[in-house]
Amino acid sequence: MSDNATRRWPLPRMTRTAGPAAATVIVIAVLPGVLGDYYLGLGYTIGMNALLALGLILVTGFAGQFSLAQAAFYAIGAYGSALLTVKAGWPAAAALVVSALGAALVAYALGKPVFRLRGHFLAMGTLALTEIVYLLVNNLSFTGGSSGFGGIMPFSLGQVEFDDLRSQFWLVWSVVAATLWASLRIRRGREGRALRALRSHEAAAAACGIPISWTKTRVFAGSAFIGSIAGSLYAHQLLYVNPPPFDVMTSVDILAIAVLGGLRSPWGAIVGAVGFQVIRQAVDGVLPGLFGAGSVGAGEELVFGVILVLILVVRPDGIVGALSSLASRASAPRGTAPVRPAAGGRPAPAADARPGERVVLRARGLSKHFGGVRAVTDVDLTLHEREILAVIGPNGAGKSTLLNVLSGNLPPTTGRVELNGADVTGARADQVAARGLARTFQTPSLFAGLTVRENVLVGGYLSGRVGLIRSALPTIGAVREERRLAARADEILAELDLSHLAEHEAGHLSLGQQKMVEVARALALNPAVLLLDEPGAGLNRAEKLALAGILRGLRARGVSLLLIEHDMEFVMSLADRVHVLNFGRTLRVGTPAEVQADEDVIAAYLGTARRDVDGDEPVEATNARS
Amino acid sequence: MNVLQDVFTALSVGSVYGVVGAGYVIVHRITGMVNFAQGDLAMAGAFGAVVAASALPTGAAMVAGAVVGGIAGLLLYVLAVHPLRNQGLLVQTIVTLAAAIVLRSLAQLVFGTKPYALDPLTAGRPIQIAGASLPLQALWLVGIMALLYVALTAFFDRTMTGRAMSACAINRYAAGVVGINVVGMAALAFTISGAITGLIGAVQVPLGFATADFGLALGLKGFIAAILGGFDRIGLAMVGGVLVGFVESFAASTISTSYQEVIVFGLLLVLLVARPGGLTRLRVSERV
Repeated sequence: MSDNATRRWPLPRMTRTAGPAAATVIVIAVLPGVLGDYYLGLGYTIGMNALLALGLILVTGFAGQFSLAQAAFYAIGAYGSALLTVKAGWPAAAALVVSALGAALVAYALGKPVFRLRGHFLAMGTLALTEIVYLLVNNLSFTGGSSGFGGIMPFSLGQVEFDDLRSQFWLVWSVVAATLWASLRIRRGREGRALRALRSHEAAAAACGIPISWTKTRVFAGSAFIGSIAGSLYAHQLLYVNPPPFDVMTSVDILAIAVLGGLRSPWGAIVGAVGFQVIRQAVDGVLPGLFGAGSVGAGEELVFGVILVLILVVRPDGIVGALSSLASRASAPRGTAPVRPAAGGRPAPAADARPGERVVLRARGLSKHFGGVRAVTDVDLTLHEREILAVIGPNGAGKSTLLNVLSGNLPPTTGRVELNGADVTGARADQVAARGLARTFQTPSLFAGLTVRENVLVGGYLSGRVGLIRSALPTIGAVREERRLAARADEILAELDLSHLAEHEAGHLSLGQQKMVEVARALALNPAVLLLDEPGAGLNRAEKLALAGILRGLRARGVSLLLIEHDMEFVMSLADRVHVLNFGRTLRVGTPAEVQADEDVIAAYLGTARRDVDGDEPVEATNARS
Repeated sequence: MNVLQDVFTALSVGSVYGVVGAGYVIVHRITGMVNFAQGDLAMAGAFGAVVAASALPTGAAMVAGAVVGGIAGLLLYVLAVHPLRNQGLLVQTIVTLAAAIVLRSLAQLVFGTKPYALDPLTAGRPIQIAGASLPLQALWLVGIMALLYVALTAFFDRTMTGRAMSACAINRYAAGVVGINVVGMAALAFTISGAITGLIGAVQVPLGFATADFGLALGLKGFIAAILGGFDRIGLAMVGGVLVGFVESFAASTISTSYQEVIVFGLLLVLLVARPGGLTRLRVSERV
């Protein structure tokens, strides 16, 4: 919309990621000339650990998935490069790439099915994977068994050979800097927002069109790719591979590094790797004096185990988290978001905004049962284009469950759902969203930790196509797309009178503001059908009037709306038709006037005919399937 | 190869896996967590018994192992898990892994890497049937698993405390609302889970020894048993443990002892991919 907003937006972000990375490059270029061999060796180890931790931060920090597979991918890279160069005579660079692709493939094969399950299944699965790879390289004859094999040449790229510590230091830290920069870019781009969103609220992320398990699988494959590259570099540095560096304790060490530095930021990998090495040197210096030389291995493990517990208990976001919260306390605008007087009712919409004949959303015989609880039973529902349909009913009538089934957040037990003529029965929420359905949730479901603008940008996920790799490399197309998404988000925010909140963290807003931001996020999907679960709850009268104006305006633009609402005045003034649910069944469908006059409806609400049990819906939207 | 011998081996190691699996299930049902230190609680129980055996008769030493396991489980909850109650499952799960590392490395510092042994509960020759031998201690293992099944089922179904814990399993929030001490129940779950795991860890020492690092593999195998039990059923987890025992002993006798663990851990991956709901296909993925 405003040129100002478009220009202001992506440029500082470029410098924010490029600046520190450029500084890192300078450090990398200068250090090898200054350091002696001892510190070069230390620096090399730190770089290697930082690279492995960067891979872990992608999957555990960004996607919130606990992986212990880093040692397995490290092993795949090391043995892959060693075998391909020594036994098959491949050039080192080709072996590195092929090994990394192989590791990514393993991650894909494991991640795709396992990410449908709860988080700890991945943790145990990856632990098993690491054990399997370790046992295999220990027992197979072509990997040299427990003694391993040598004869590996130093890494080379064309004519350039990395055959001394100085050049290897330079090589590993260049890869670290590139990966760090790419990770920072990913975190700020479309894919990173999607990851942060799904970590914060999976059901809402799915409703924004983000394919949850596919997104996690890709980032897991990315982390495998990085881990494997580290392994390849390691093999070409040591010129020899044997099993011990690849056992489970390596995965635990990398986890300790990432937790120590901070899982939330890629910088955590660098800070953690340095901290880890400092602690290790200290332990190695002190322990032999106390317990004898044999105690070093177990002693290190003990110290890191204790540190891991302490960090998690005291500061789960690690050193970087502690530093950045110090920094932001000093600078960022904090406190509660400014409250603006509500704009009041908007002008009435154009006269042609009447419902059309075409059915955009249709449910037939829809039922949802939770064990013995029949939340929704045999509901038929139609929503026409440019229609505002209100779904009302007493508490526990099954309204939110119905909405969750329509949006794909819950699979129906029986029945059929059609969206724009296509059968979407049992489709996942992100697939339904991709077909033009957006929704809001009953309980505020904004992505905490993201700003208001970022929340709306997540809503625009489907109108972008820059993936993990293009997020990492700022191609012209990627930068342009980010600019376009940002402009669209700003436009929506301005339209809903939320521009003044754009930079505020979503979790810090008032309930009414959160509700409006959720509407803005849903609008960013450019939906044909918008489902709103109690959009007016928590709004004051003026805000409700403004909301009604916005909803009428959407209708005038051709959007079909289905809303659940308890405020009868609001419903009756806004809705074209009203669909009344009671005990999960359709009680009455009609115009507001018809419904208001209906005796069964009055009875259901006032309880003259039968008593209604006051309770919540059986399943809250936040518990819904993603 | 001797099939009957494999069956005997499977029963005796499988009972250990089954009880460890039941330990996972108890913690998971009440708290929704997976305790990565489960196998190391068995190790703690085993060393508890080894130390106690220098002063106590074997039977009492093994009970001491259960006590050590229970205390370790309780400390794990109080010192590491409970302080992180507001941090979400990811962080809580990571902290149990950290605790596992602490336990394992502590044991290694104190006891070194060599294996420790204990006398069996009943002295006597193994029972010989058709060329296969069944040590008396294996009967104890199977018997203790059966006894634990009966006792735990009775506890969860019949006693007020047990039912309160089951209520937490179904809906922690609602359990809190009706006045159940949810934190206390979680602490109790870790304690019971640690105690039964510690006991079985101690009782298996006469057959399988105690080493500082046996918790890792044991923990993974117990986890497979728990998955087979749908992470919800104590009895099914015990059956699952015996199944893991079968896979392991048949893999060892028909394929190779070097690959038996690869095959068992591979079974875990196959289960995760193909049948994460366990033997009865409970929907573990649904409860978010």
